[in-house]
Amino acid sequence: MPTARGPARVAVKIDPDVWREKSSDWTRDRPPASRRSASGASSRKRGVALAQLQRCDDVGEDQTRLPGLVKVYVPITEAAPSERPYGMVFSPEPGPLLVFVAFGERHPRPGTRSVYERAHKRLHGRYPDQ
Amino acid sequence: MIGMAVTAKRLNVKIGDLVEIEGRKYDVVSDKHGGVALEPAITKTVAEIHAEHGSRPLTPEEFEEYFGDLPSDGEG
Repeated sequence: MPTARGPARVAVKIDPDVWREKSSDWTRDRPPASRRSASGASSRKRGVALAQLQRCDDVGEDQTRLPGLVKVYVPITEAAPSERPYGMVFSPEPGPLLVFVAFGERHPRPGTRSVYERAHKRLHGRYPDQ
Repeated sequence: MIGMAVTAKRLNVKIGDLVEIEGRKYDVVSDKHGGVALEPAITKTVAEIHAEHGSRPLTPEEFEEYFGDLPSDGEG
């Protein structure tokens, strides 16, 4: 298990310019600003528990390609995934340290890009359908 | 009922363009239904973020060492 080889939590680094580009400030059905800010601030300060992390898919059903990236559901709680509609995606670097890549809805309404599509664009420079 | 006269501003943009509206940047993207949509712009790549911090992403071998046992959910 990963916990046997490393710390129980992994530190997080968030570039303020990248944080400002997150999508959910622009969405209609967003959680309270205080909760969004708390997720970012808390992750930055305390890191993310390994137990909350998941690998992103090398190739997803939506044609996103996110090899080498990891994610957490937001809010970062023990609630069921269906009660955590947002996601944060990270690119790990040596340390390890998680570098913030994207934040947004996991399953947005049609016409809005998911957090995975946004992470794909940040990784590859274009959306999967471009 | 009084009708409202609206004059549309014609925008000379295409999918893939970056536009700025009231100080915020947006990417012009497909809405996947034949139209276009605006998404908050993504202006910095993962490689650029790591480079600005003087670091790099993990190699595939390093990734497997640290995170190889993590679960995945198949959604992205």
